Amino acid sequence: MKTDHQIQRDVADELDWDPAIDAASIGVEVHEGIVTLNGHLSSYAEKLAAERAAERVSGVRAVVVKLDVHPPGAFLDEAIAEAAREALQWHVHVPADVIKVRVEHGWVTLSGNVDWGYQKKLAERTVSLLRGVVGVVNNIRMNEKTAPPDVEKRIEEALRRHALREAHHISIEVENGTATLRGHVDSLADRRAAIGAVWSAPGISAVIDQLELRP
Amino acid sequence: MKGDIQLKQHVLEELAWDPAVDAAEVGVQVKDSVVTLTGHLASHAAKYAAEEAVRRVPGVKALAVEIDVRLPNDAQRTDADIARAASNILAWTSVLPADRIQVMVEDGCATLTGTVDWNYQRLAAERAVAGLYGVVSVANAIAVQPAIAANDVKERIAKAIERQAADDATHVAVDVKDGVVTLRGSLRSWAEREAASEAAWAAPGVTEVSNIIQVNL
Repeated sequence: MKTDHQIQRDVADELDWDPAIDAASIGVEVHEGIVTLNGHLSSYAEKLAAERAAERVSGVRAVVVKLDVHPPGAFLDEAIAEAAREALQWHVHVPADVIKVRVEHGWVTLSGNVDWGYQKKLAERTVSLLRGVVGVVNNIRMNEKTAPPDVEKRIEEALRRHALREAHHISIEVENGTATLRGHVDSLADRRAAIGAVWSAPGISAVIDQLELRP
Repeated sequence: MKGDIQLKQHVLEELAWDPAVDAAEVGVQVKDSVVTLTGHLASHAAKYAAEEAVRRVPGVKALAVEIDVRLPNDAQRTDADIARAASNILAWTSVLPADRIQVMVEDGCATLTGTVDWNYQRLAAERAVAGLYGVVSVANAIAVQPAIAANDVKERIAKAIERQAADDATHVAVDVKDGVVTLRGSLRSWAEREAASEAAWAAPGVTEVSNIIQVNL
């Protein structure tokens, strides 16, 4: 079991190690395994990278992100909106004609209805990587679809197939398209993988994550 | 260790599970834990998704992809339009250096050239064009030209791998020579193997990573 002090040092090292992150501008605090990141960064992609880098360190139970994004240079909201529109339209797996884009002071808000969870996530990822973007609010909703009756079993099988270390400690309940995950996982990376697998299930419109990190 | 028949079943199930892949169009062969995918898919992005799906299945030792991309009519774009969209998305991608990557498109095959400081930028450029309409394949000829070289690279890579491991991931031997990193040893999954590669690529001064880590369950 790592102490807060060790975790703080490991997170700082991991941020420093990741070439996508300017670690000098990030402060790291740790309290009982919960990491808080403070500071100013130059892109939203860098902010996401910092969050992920902290999650990669073993012993981290949760990450609180207090990072501001200040892009270098001036970006007009109209230009960002145009770039986001085009990026979504050109992506094969994004149903761009049903997604609406709104940009305000660099914050991009996505809305609309899609069929699959992966399309919602992909649309968010696509606009997250653009220059000038300060943050993304994903209000895309899922079309009402009926989940097949054996969907819980199929999710369980997918988790087992991925050999998620603690797959058998995760229980899944699906009601009206909402999947609730309960149980224990070993790392934040496992938790992300489990939630990602659930979003691929047919008929899932929301995921409630009640997974706990094993101490 | 899984038998080939069981492994094939798991790969088929995983392909069917992935909504980005039309699994009915993909044939799967397995021999000695080496998976071969054949068939036709409707986009480069779907082909990419199929590869990723196979990588999620533990027990896969190696992967050969013999999938053709056949664009349906409504997904066809002219080379000029693809090139314009590709250079636009590259210019807007925040992690990429401005004006250092060139795109050439011929019959839907996109070739990327130029130089970047880091491998993650090289991969980000590839990912940015891989999902575009009309793209049949992506050849990534971008060179990594590191700005600085460090002398304690070997030690720093080993430490990074150790930092990320929940338990015994220390079966990896690291060798560095003239910016080329060689990783040897065994790990339990493709994901761990990829993570080791990524850790090595993140070291300053690295121009190439040769990952010969075996996946053993």
